[in-house]
Amino acid sequence: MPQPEFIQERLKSLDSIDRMLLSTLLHASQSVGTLEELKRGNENMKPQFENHARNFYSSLEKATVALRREIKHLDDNVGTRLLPINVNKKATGQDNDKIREQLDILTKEIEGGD
Amino acid sequence: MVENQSKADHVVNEDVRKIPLAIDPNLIRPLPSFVPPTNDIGSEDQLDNNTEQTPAASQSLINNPYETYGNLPLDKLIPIILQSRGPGSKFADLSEEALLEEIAKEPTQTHSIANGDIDIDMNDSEATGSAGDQILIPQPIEGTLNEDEENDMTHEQFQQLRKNAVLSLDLALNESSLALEFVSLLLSSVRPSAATASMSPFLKKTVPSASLNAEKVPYEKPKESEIMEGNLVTKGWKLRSLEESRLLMKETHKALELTVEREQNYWSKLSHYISRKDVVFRMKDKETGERTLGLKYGYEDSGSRYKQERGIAILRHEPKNNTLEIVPSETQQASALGRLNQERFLRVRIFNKIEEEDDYILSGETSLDELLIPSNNLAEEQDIRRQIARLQFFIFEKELMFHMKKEAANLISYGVSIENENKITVEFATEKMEFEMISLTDDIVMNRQQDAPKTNDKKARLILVMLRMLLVTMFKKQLKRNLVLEQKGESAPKNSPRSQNHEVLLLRPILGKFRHANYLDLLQNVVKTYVLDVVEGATLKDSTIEKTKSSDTFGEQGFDKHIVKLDREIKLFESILRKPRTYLTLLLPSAGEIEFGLESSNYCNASTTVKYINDSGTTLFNTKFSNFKELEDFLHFIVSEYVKENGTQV
Repeated sequence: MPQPEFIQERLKSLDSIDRMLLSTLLHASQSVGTLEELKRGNENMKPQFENHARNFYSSLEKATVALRREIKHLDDNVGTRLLPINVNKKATGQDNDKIREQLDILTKEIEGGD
Repeated sequence: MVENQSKADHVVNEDVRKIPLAIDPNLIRPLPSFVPPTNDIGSEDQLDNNTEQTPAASQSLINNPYETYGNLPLDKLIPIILQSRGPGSKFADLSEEALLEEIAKEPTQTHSIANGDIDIDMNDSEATGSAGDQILIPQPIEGTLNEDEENDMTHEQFQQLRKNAVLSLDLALNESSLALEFVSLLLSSVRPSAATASMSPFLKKTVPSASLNAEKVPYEKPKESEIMEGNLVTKGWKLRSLEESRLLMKETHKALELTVEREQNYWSKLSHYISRKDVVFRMKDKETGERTLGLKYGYEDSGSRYKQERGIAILRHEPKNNTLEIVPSETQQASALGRLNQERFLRVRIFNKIEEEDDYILSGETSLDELLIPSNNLAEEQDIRRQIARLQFFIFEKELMFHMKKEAANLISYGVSIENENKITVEFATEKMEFEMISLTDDIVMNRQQDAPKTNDKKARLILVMLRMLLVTMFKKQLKRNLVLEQKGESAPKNSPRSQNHEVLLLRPILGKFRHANYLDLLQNVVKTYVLDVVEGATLKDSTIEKTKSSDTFGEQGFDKHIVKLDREIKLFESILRKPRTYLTLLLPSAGEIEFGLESSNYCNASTTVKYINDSGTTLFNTKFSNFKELEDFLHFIVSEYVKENGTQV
């Protein structure tokens, strides 16, 4: 029984945030790489460096905004979807599951037998 | 001049040491300390004097003669000033204008003044006797001074200022003396004679000359090439660190990419398989130390009181196959203890006794549960729900065996014995049942369908199903008990093991049913041989339903709906849980009837009540037997005494 759509959506969103944060790291490494080239005297790298730095900031910004949005979702849903307190959930109803299962077997035995 | 001076010294010293004539010794006493310093430095006499005085002024390296002036109280200072100005001069005559005039004259006749000073000094010391009168009256002079000074500043302010000035002077002098000493000592190694001249006696005494040395350190200007090299190295380091940080970030990115991939996989699987009904909570994976999610699959919250296993599993991502797997938290501990195979299931086997030999033959056994047969479909095999179901199956089976063993321990007198940790056998007259926990091994899975179906297979399966249902019923009873206690506002009491044992009803209801059927057979046989075969027209009928009809009344009032619901569910099993009882009515033609009641007080034993009501409706006998032999005799007696007689009468 899969989780409801809203939960799936949130998980997907959190995953994309993860990926955005990951790309910030990539852009950062690229920026440092081009900066290194620049320091070596390779002036042609200037626009590239600019580009990487811009990418770094934009991905960071996107990730931050998305994260804030998720936190807002969290806040909004306290009291409706989420309980504001910690509740120890109980695994109830397993007795009924078991007895249903056994009744099925029993039915099969009685109907199928003889 | 030197003679003069030494003479003066002599005179003064004598004055002090010997009899003061008209002079207060207090006035003269400071003189020796400051008179000599007025002379030029360098003269042997003075140096001696100085060394003599060092004990008195031991604190300072250099004896500062002016210091003593500053320390003098005003009433001593003024007479000294007057002394220096020569006899006959009055303090009151001193005015600013006169002093300015004197200073103006000074530069021109510095030398003469200096000489004159000494002369005056000399004269003064000689003329102390004559000038004594004037010197002895400083009080009025001071008074006039105070009056003059009052216009400009207070006495205290003046004192303060003078003190400060003297202090600064002292300091400067001391510092410069120290510098001189240092330079002299430094110089002493190169030019000893020149150095000793400027050294203070104290230094000469305490530090050996030529003990301080220094070398000249030349300052080298760095070369052009060196500067270049330094710059290059700096730049190289910078570039290198940039490169390293770039690589570090790149590698981290790569590693994190894998982690993100894994996380995404984990959560998507989780969201797909785990429903709201599942109890998922955060916990720590003891094996890897990671924070992860746990899942409760045990029956603890559904009424189970099995505490051997907690029924908690960890939802773990299996990186090898990129799948989600569920690992019971106990497995880790169990494998540490060497008990690797926790997957065990209950198998029921029925054996029939072979009459001629004292041996049994297997006549029926339960088959492997579908859940335990590995699926050919890999996706299905990896299905987490299937895995959870398996775990639930195993924990349930274990609990079932656990309770059965407890129950069996008290049933030894009814043919129930615990053969070993995993096996219970129940013996009947013609057959034997085995309840055994079997480890799920590959062999068992492979050989599952080799045997041909046997006659008692179905019976074995039904017994197993019934056992499981009875365990669930026990759960429900426990749930009901908890709810009732909760409603009453009491906490669940710690049940003693004894009462717990008493509540276990797994083997006994089933066993009781079989035994009861046997007893009933016996009873019917007895009745047949002693009554039905003897008395013509007698009929036996089952009156159980009529007798037990009205006994089921449950007090459902006052409880909430959950308890009522549980009650109803438990009641579904009433017919098996109830202690077996059968009522038979034997109708004797024109001789009344005999009522038989076959009952059991503990499911396994049997007692028979016999009630004989004669034709006219009076109860002649109402008695109880736990022994069928006695019953036979009794029946024989009744038949021969009442029925036969009656019959012959008829």
